[in-house]
Amino acid sequence: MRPGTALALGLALASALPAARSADRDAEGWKTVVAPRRFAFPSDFAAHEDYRLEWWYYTGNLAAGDGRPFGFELTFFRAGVDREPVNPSRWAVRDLYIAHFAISDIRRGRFQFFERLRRGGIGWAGASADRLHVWIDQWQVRLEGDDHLLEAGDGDFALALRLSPRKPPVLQGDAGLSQKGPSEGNASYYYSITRMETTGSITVDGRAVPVTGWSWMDREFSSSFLETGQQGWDWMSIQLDGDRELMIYQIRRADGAADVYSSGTIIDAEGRTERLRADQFQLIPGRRWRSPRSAAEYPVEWTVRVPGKRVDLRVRAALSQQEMNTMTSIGIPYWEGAILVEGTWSGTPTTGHGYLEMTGYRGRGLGGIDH
Amino acid sequence: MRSPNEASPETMQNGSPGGKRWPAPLKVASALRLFRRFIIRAMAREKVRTLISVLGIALGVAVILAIRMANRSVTESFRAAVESVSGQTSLSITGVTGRFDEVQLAEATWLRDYGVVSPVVETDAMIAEPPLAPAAADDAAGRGELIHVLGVDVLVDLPIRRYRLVKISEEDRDPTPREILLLLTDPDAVILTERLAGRYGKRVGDRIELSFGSARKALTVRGLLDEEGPAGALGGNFALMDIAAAQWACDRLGLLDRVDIKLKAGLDAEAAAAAIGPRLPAGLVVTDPQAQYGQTETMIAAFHFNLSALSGIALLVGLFLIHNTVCISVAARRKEIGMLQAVGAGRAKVAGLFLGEALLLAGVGAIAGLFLGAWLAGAAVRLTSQTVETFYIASVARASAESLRLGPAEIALALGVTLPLALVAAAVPALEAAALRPLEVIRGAGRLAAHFRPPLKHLAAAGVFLVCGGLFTRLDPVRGLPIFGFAAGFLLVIGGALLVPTALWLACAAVRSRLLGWLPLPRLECRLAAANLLGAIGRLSISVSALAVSLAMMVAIAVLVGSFRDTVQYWLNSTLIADLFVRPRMLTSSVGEASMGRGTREAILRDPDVASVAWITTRQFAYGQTRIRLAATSLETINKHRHLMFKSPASAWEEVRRAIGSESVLVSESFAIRFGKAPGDRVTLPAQSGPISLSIAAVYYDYSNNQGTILMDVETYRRHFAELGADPIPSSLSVYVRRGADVETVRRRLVDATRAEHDLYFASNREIRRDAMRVFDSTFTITYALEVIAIVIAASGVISTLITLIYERRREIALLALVGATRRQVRRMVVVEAVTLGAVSQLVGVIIGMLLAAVLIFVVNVQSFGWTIQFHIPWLFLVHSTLAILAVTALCGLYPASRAANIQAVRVVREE
Repeated sequence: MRPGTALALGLALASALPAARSADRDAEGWKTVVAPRRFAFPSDFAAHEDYRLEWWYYTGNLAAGDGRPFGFELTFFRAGVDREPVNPSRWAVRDLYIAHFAISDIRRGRFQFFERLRRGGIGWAGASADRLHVWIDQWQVRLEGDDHLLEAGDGDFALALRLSPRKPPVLQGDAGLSQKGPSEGNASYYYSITRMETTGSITVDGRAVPVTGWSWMDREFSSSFLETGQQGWDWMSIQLDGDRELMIYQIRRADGAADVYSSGTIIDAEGRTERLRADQFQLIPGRRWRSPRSAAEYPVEWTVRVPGKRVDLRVRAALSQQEMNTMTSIGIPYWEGAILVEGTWSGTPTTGHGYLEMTGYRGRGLGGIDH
Repeated sequence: MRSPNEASPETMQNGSPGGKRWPAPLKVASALRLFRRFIIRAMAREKVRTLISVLGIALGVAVILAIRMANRSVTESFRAAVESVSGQTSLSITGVTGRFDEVQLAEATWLRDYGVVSPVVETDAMIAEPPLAPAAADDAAGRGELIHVLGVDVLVDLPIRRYRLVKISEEDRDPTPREILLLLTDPDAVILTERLAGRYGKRVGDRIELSFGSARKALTVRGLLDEEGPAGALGGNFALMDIAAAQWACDRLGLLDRVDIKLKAGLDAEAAAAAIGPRLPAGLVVTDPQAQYGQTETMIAAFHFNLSALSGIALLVGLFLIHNTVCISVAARRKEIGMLQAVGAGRAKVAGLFLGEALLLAGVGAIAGLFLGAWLAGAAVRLTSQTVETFYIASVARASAESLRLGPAEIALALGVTLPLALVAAAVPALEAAALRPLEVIRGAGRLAAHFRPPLKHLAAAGVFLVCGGLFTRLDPVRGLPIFGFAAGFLLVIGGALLVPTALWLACAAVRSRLLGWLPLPRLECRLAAANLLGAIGRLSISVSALAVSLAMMVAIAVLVGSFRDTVQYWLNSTLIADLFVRPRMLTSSVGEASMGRGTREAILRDPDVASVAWITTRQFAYGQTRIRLAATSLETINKHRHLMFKSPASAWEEVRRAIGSESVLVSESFAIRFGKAPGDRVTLPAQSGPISLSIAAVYYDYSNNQGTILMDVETYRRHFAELGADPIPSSLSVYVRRGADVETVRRRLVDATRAEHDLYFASNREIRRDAMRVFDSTFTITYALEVIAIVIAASGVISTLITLIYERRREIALLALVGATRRQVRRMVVVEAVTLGAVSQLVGVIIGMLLAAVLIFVVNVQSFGWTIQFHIPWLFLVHSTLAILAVTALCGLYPASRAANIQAVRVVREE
């Protein structure tokens, strides 16, 4: 569940949601997600060009040698536009590539966001179908051994990071099939790498700072969109002491209720996972921050409860202003930023950090855009 | 012995009624009163003469201003167009041979470190449907309107160029890249300007047919642009397409015209260019987007230079007129001047009155000229748009007609040039007036020009000017402009004008003597006329010179155009030998780049009655600092049909056979002259693989284009210049029909066979020649118009001179009448004078005209166009024009003649 969905709405869908063409293809020939699949790595890191939409999402909390904390996000989206363009030109738009890059300089209270929107053309942007390599201009992610190498930069801001997975990929939902709504095919394949040891440098205001910390990767591919009545979602990834992680999201309905397709996953120190259904957890919004730019009001403090596990966490944004201004690429603002976490897990006190994503806090719901 | 009034001018001035005691405003008022009574009233009385003088100045000023305004407006519009089309581009990457394979830049990821990088496909297209209100002027080919098509990736182009869509949303803002892209993702989507769409009645969602080269495509209008950025530059003749759609539509898959770069803030363009250049793959170069501006400016400048040189003549003739008018004014009021002086008006005041008259005439003329010029400027712009080489500039020029305006610079120029020159022109008669001795005048003694000596001084001066002019013809052009050529022309004209006194003297002698005895002329009247003229040669020389110069210009132009026409006709006869000529309908004589769709040649060859097809492809090509044409054809076919005419060497056809597929080329004459090349020399050209050196096999005549053309065999072309190594696409075809087949039938069949996909123009041999000659003739229309103006002005100058003479000779004419001359005899005498003046003008005009024509043909033409023109004397024209001039001057003489005849002899003599 990522805002790439919204982007697909904005870009790919010129007409109404197409009816299915066959069991696993939609009317435009894109594959739909109807059955669980067998994942294989590293090949499933690479692009899945048969699906309309996919993204590679990296977030992390890092710190310089003096403890100065940073958050970062680097995301690549591929949004299919026309699966088999009639125009043989290299510039014909089959896919659009979008990248979002943000640095949260928490101590200084500054948040920098950059975006790119490109077509493949003569290869100035693209996603390899046989290995992990996604790029737009100089921004890129690629695999070297087991490590994911991230590079991005714009003006005086840049990052160059090496992310080494410390746990195997976690298949989200039902063995990696994440159902998003009641209709068949309204689902995605979804996995995460929840703990990646990170080293490298972050450049802020033209100064490169060596950093270390922990990152999280999310990877989804699908061909579907939110459905009518779904207003937006709140998603968070939390890395806690004792090598525990928690991914949790709720889809908010237009009437304010949580959608039954909300879901979560608990990952223990050994990498074992436990799935959380909508009725097994609660996300309770707290203090709100009003974005001066978009006028959206985002809850920047949350309480997370998993009663069955005696989990009670207080989540707060490391920085209130972490709203992405995506006017160029997807045209829908969303909030994505570093969070600090404290509370209790099975009754024992714990702390941690993570990333929070919130969409649909302004205007019409994202699920309604296509209608 | 000094006459009393001459003794002390100061006393006279001090003693004048104004005196020193009067306060300044009153002095001015009294001067104005005097001016009104003395000058303005006279002007009002002599309406025709006043009008002609004012008109003369007005025309001269108008033509100069029109050209200047057109020049400025075209140059400014072009600069603005280049700026808005190139947007924020700081550098461009282009191929040395033109378009380039886009894959060459696939690996150049480092390029984006410098800033925004936007690949561009650019082309012209023709609207293949009629507008709502069809334009009046359309040519035989039924050519539609041309538009400039820009194909870009809006995702990267938006930081460089601004596009403002009409009402894309309720919000008033520029569209986001995403919004524009969505409009353009269809392979047949196009965004037009609102203005263009309006002309064709198109709305969003409508289809519009465009021809890219000869290939016709139906596109869907997806949006409308406000006239901002590139859309505002070309008068609305602009279309935005997605880069993919543009590549496909104009059949250029895989090719880019250029890549525009907007450098990051803080990067220096020159330093960046120096850094980027060496890292580019072979065959690509960094260029300054303003570079094309410089080339075009030179082109427009050259075009306007020629026109300006001609318009200078018009102004000069106008000034002759002022001179004349003031002369008449002085002559007609000798008596009044004398009286003024007698009552103590002072010399300064008298001179001032006549200078004031000149200023008034010139001022009114200049102001009238301002408005006339503003009106004529539109015509000059239209002419520019028809004459310049590429549609892009032509359309800019057309659009610039809207930005024509009179600025302070024009007003300053008109008044600043005309008024001082008018003062100079009026100085001689005004000073003469001031120097009149009141008593003599009142007594009727003292003639302005009494005796005339043989004009040896003038003859010597004429010789100097003519020799200098001759020497100037040997000097090289300055920055491509034949400045010395034109200077030589001017020197010859001045030299010719200086011959006039001698010619007049000889003519008078001839008329008086029995040399013309065999002609049925009234002997007595002739003798009288000759005597009169002989006495006034000094005065007459100026106006006769003016007429002679105008006639010389006309003769020169006639000889030039006639010779040129003959040469071109001969060339057409020997090179246009095919039965049918085929080209894309959008190709015009001034647009170089439209090409045929693929498969056209094959389709035509399939016709059973087509014996063979010759083809040629041409394109614009950067050669050093300028642009030339690069052309390719099958030299074998050329050798077979022999439809090329060679200048050198003598064994040209042998050389052509040797050049087939080899490393040698043929060059057009204008190329050879412009760059000083001859057969056997080498040309170095930038090719895909780096610079190559080709040897020149032969030089051929080509009057279709003065840019300079390098023509090579298709194999040579393919080796070095073909994009993606593909077969070049022909820009035009010559079809040879099988013997005995009916050309009309074949043409109809070919039209039917190609109509579905191609927008082609089939012309028969006769039609293409007619078209060529029409283009030729229209090019010279304005020249003739300017000539007619000059001649009208000059002829009116001759009448006014005669009128002056008659004023001066009122007494003599009256005496003639008293001693028994009939009115008819007086009239005849004056007419003989007029015709003599006309004949002298024509004689000198023809001599100077021939010299001038030789300079134009052998110096100016060669330097600015690089063409050989065979000198050809248009005898018939000369005979006609001579008869016409004699008739016109005789007619013109009738008016002063009747004035002379009406002189009341008794009254005049009594007054004396």
